[in-house]
Amino acid sequence: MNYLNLWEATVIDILIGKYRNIVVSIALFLLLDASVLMLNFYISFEIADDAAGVNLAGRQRMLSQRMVKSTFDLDYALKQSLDPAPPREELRTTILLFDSTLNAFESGGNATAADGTPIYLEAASTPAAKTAIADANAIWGPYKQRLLNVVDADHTEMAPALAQAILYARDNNLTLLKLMNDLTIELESVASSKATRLRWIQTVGITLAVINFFIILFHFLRQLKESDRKVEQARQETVEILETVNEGLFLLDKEYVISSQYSRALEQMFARENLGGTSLQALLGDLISDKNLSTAKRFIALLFRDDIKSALIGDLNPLKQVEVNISSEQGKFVTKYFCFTFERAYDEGEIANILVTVLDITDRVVLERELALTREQNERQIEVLTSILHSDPRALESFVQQVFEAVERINRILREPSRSSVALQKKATDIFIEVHRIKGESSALGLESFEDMTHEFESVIHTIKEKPEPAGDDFLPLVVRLEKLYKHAESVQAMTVKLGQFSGKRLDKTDGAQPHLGWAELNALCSRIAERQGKKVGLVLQGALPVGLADAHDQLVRDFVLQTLRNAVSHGIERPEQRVPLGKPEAGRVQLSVTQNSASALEISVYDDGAGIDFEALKQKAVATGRFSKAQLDTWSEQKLSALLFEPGVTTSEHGLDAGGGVGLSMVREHVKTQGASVSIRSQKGKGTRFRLRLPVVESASAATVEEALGEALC
Amino acid sequence: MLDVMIVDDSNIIRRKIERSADRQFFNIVALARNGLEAVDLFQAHRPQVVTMDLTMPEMDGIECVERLVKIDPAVRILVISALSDVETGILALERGARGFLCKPFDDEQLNGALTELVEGLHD
Repeated sequence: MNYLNLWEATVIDILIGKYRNIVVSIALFLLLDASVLMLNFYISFEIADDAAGVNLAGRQRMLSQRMVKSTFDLDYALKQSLDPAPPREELRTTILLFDSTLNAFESGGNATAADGTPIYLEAASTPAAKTAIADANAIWGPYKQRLLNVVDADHTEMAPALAQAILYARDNNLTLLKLMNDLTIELESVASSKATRLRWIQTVGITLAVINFFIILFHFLRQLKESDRKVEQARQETVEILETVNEGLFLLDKEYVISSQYSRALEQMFARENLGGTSLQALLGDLISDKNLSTAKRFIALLFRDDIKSALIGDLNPLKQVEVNISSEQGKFVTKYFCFTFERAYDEGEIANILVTVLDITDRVVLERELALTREQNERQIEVLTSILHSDPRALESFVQQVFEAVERINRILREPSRSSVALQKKATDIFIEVHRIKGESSALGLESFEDMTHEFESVIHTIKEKPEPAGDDFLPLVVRLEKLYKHAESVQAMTVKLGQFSGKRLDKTDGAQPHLGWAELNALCSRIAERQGKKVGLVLQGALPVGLADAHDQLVRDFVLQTLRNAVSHGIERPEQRVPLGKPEAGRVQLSVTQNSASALEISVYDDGAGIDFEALKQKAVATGRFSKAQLDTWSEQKLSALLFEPGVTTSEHGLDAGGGVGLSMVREHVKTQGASVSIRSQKGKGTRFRLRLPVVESASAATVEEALGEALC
Repeated sequence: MLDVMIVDDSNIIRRKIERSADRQFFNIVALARNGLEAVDLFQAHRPQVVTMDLTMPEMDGIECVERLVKIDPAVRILVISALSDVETGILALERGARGFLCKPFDDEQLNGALTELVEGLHD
């Protein structure tokens, strides 16, 4: 049905559309040719008939003379007494032939042709012919009678009949011959005029046909020229569009072949030429991963399927934002971001091609990234500002100094040549200790930005440490982190200075002294850690942290206090839901006691009423380091086992923001060894753990003041 | 009215689709929590339209799409999934789903997608 409609529409289109003139001209041409052909045919037949008539009329002339000749032959035979039969028979045949032919000329009918076959003659129609025939008949009637009397007579009567016939023939023969001659001439002239008419018809027909042909040719050429012009115009427009658009435009067929026409921008974007006829693979093969390319091809294949709604699969376009590295004219690679969109192109209702549009969205992506970065920086600055406003400026300044120094030390560690994997492992551990210390300090000061940064830093080192065979290259990412840390410290320092100027405070140039750690700072540290882990903790400070210690001792005390407090909150204290069933109060208690036993000995202990050390877990961890055997550890007392906590790499917790992954306490031990101090642990399962540090006091220039303070708070 | 079956392991999403679908055109006939349930309910109710999650327990969306299309090749399946895995989405369409809607979506997006999905389908 549809096809029929389509066909009808096409026919109507042709009849009334731009082809109408050509169709009409061709129809006329055919009609004219057919008419000329038919006339030609008709007249040719008439001419053929006329030719037969002319022949027969000519034969009548001859027959009239043969009759005379036969009568004379017969007369001669009679006189010479020869056999009269042959001339008599010839005369009879001639009479009959002449008579029948004359009758046929007069009223139409069959005559006998020269070869004896019958031939139909039309009755002569022109007046001259009719007159000639009538006159001939008038002579022929008596003549025929006389001649028949001769041929029908018996031997005795023949001579007188013959004499009469010869007498009549002598008077009329010439007239009859002339009349037959007139008839012949008349018929010839009729035939000749018909031939002339035929020539005219042919000439006119052919002339008209030629004119018609030229009209068609003219129309056809004009139309061809017109449509050529339109095609050329359309092509020109397409070319212009493709030359000027900023997007990469091309068509893809089912075989992922790129169309011969595509936008110039495409060549510029991809820094390639002659893309027409090449495949999508050739365009993208070395710019995106094989997997991505194959996903894109699968996506395009979906677009060729008409049972899938193209509007409903846009989200699956894998080339919505693609990062590509394009080689520039200078031979360098430039990173760009392209956005590909795909549209179906239909041809007669079928999906023929996919129109691909490629947009360079580099600017947009870069801007988005910059915005995100700026936002992140702003957030960080606000956070830093908040922490600065909440901190003692001196403490902050001192912390920043510490960071600078640590960065310097880490740099030194990084530069040290180390070839063996053991040396590299040690390098990683040394860096970890430095970073971990900054993390501890930043945590104590509530500088979350530093805490996050150092935590990420630690994670990177952690992955290096995990490797059985670390390589020198593994340390490269640390350089970037280190620089980031340094820059951040610089910006904090700058901000501190600015704030100092703003608030009118002038920061005294610090002499490198560590920031003061009082109950408020330590309590804040405990609360933050507890909050992160869903715990409740109260810190009790008995005595005061000593001030004026020698630098080395001061560092040891700080490291010990920070590490053991963190340890107590994150590993010791249980969550409320664990504590309550054990009959313990919801909030854990952490007690930091500072006592000066004598003028020269200082004792600092950190106690928590938490779960105590899980010695089984500790043993497993120790065995996992490979430095101890299970059998060996089974013989150890709990006292001895607890010393394992000071071994590098031994921890009962995984690496997290509040734990050092087994480095924090080992860092303390290193210092203890060099400072002539001692450290001990006592732990009771389910009851709690106490870390104790004893150290000989070597006072610095300023006198030691012991600030008595007692505080307890719930956090 | 077109019969619709919702397949999603999340109760919240099932409810959301059920609430959001335009009742003027869509009649929710079944809610399935996983692929196995979906196949059973599909056979029982023969809905013309199915919304399909991809990651589900028991039987995942890909296999479910295959099974439903085998039962009724004319079924219109709209995959509704997060964009985390474009490849799985493409795979679902290769196996016979007709469209993809990205989570999260609003009412307008859902109805727009459903209307587009059922275009040319008469009840």
